[in-house]
Amino acid sequence: MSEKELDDEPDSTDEEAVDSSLMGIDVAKTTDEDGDRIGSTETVIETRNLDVYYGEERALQDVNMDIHEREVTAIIGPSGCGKSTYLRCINRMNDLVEAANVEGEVRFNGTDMYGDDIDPVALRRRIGMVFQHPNPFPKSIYDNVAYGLRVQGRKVTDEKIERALRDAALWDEVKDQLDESAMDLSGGQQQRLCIARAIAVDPEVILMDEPASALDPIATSKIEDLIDDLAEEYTVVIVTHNMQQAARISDRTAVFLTGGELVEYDDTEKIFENPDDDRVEDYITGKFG
Amino acid sequence: MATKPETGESIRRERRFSLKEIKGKAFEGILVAATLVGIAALLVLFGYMFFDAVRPLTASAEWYLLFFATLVAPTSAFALYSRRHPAVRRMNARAFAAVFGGLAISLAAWVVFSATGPHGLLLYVLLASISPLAVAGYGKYVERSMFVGPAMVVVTLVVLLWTLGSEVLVFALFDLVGLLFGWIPVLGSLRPPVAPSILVTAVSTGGPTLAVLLYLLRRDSSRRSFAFVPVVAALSGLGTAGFDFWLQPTVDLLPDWVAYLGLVCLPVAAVVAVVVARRAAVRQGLTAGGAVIAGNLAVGVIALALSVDPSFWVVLFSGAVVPVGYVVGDAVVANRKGRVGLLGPFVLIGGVLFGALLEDVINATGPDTWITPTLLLSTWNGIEPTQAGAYAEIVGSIMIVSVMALMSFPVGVGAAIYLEEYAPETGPAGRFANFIEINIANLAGVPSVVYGILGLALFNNFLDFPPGIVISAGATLGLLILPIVIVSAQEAIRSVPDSLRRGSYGMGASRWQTLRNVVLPEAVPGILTGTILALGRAIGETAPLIVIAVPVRTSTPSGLFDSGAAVPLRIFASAANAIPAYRKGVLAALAVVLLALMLTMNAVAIVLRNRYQTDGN
Ligand SMILES: Nc1ncnc2c1ncn2[C@@H]1O[C@H](COP(=O)(O)OP(=O)(O)OP(=O)(O)O)[C@@H](O)[C@H]1O
Ligand SMILES: [Mg+2]
Repeated sequence: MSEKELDDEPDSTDEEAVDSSLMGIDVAKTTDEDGDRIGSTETVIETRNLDVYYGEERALQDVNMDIHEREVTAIIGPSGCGKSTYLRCINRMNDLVEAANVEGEVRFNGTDMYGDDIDPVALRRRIGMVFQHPNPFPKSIYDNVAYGLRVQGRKVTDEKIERALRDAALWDEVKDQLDESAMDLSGGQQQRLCIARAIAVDPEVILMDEPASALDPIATSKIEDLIDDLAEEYTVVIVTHNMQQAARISDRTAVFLTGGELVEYDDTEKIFENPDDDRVEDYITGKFG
Repeated sequence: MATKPETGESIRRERRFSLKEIKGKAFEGILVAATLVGIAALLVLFGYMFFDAVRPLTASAEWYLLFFATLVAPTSAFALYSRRHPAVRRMNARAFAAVFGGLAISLAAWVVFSATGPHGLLLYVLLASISPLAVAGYGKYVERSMFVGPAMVVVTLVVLLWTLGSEVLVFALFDLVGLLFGWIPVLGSLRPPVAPSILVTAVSTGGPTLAVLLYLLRRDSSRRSFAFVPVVAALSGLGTAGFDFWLQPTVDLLPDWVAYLGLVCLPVAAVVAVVVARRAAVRQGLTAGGAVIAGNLAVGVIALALSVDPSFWVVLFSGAVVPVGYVVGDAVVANRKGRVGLLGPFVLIGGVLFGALLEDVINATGPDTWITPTLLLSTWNGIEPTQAGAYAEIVGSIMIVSVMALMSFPVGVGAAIYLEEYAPETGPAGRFANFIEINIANLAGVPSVVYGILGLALFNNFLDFPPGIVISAGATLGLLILPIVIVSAQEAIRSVPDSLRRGSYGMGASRWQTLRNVVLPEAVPGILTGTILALGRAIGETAPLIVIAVPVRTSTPSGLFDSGAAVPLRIFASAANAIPAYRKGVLAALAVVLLALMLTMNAVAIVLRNRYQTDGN
């Protein structure tokens, strides 16, 4: 590995992009020169035969999917196909939706997370979440980042706060106003604050539901860079409507289609260049969806 | 191109007054008229009452000139000046809140405490504060902060219920036994073999011990943890005995003003210490708390030296001087902008004092008002209107409102939290919760006299309380406003966006933590506003008080179980007085007093709400 990196080739994945045969999107390579996967091959989350119902209505159908450690997994699909629902199953946020009924199995590090002996609160401490719309608490910036540590009964130190804000690429913009209200930040800053808040507690997995959908292109690109960096330490699962974004930042991509069906799940390169399923190709090229 | 002339024409008005336009104007006119009529009616009504109560026409022209020069002109000038400078205005608002809020609260506290006597209350405050302080200390020691808050609340409640309850409970049990088995000849004549006080001690020692024992047995705990059992027994035994044989007699022996120190000064000092410590450092906090205590002691010593009873001055110092000192000190230490604003209340007070001084000097005759110190501070006189006072009624009203607030606030907010945050939404249980919710909203509209009947049935008939005591009056009115409190608290809680809750849960917060840290802080302003408006509504209620037989009396209620008194009742009873001066003047003045009480409460609500809002954002 290390010898390889000494070659004069450009850095393996970030800059080198391949033209997609489908729609001219830049797709990050998921393998390095040896053909080894860049992330690890350990699965963190496995879902088996997952069905979710909202009352009578079925939102997910028989989803089987493995999410790998320290990779960015993108979930794409048309509106209403169950992407958010799937994400919420992974940290049991669906428990809060009374109508939701989850069947099947979701394993986190091999443990069934819907088992009787699982504490959803403890689970959520290890699987953080960033929501579609920035939702900072109406408290100071500092208190926002410290919130998770406080509710988990862990020690709050200025260093931890600074590290989280630095990791979220927000430190330089807010370091002089930590005591001011988070509500006065811009939308993009708020979203990065929410990311800082989520990583301040060192979760193993970070779930992001369209984190950039309310942001302008510059803020979006900052968040994309951030996700790239995060993948070195964390496992990231991101829902997005933006095909380019999925292609740029993810290692694997899952395509859900209407009805809550997982149609195809593979390396991002494969999905965007040469998908097996015709419907996926149609969806990506914008013929439908 | 073809449509151009048409559109060009259609945007131009055809005639000056088209029918459409007139109709629109007429509708607008009707709306304006309705608003004006409403406002005018209220203005006339209040104006008339005010006119009767204050009698402004009896004052001489010089007096008005003086009034204008010493009070109106300086305060308006100051107000105009502070409007221009936001920092000054903010300071001004804080100073006003500190001075008048402090005055209002300390006067109310004084009125209630002096009616009930400070010793009994102090005993409960001491009792209720020992265990939460112990919990807080333990929390600091093990460096965990999350459980401390809830544990403190729970411990306080348990201790209070236990001490209040063990006596009531034991005697009630005896009564029950007597009721159930008294008809059996032998049992009926049996007396408990020991004195009740020993029984109470036995129960209050045995209860916790048994509870711990059972808990350990059920958890199959290790041998060693059973050592806890004798420890708990000894502690609760010592605690009970200590309370009965040492604490109570000692506290009862304290001079009044020392009891007031414990009751008012210590909590205030603790709050100041904590607040300052949070904002600066522990050392400063301790200094500030110490300063409060030292100031109180100084006031006490000075008063003793002048051979005045220091009690009132101690309460006033803690309640009014300390907040003002805090606001001023904070502005000076933090070097805040707009410090001139602090002068606002003093311009007002100084104007009043200076005016009063000059009034005598230049011999100006003020209005021959009915709102006099006599009215506020002496007892009722039904024959001589100028001698009529409503001190007892004012005290009674404040006591009733306090009981009402203490009863309806926790219950109402608790119910609202349950209904909004915990109650199921689906299934039979959800339907049941829904049904309850709808009915609570309906209860808000039930006529107050019906609540009077409810209070009559519950307190006078069923519980056999003496008629019209303070606690049943407060509780009846508490029931009256409970639905309003619940509904407004529900609304406030519902208005907290769900995204915040989700954010909190997503961070691994439990339901309680989410509620405590995210939902409640956001909802508090709304909850407070709704509750205090409801309290203001209830302070003037008369019908329920008549139904539960609250007397029209001239002495202050001496405690929660003494018969009550209330300003609206006095108004009601004296409306039939044959001497016209009562109907024309005294009652109007009493109504103004009632309004002033209500407005004070609303002002407190507004101050609290603004505080929370600026804290939140
Ligand atoms: N709380 C709920 N109650 C009932 N039905 C729901 C609920 N949440 C989602 N659904 C239904 O489940 C289906 C999937 O919803 P989901 O929010 O997962 O879609 P999504 O893929 O995230 O869509 P989008 O891209 O628009 O966010 C939809 O048909 C929706 O109507
Ligand atoms: Mg969604």
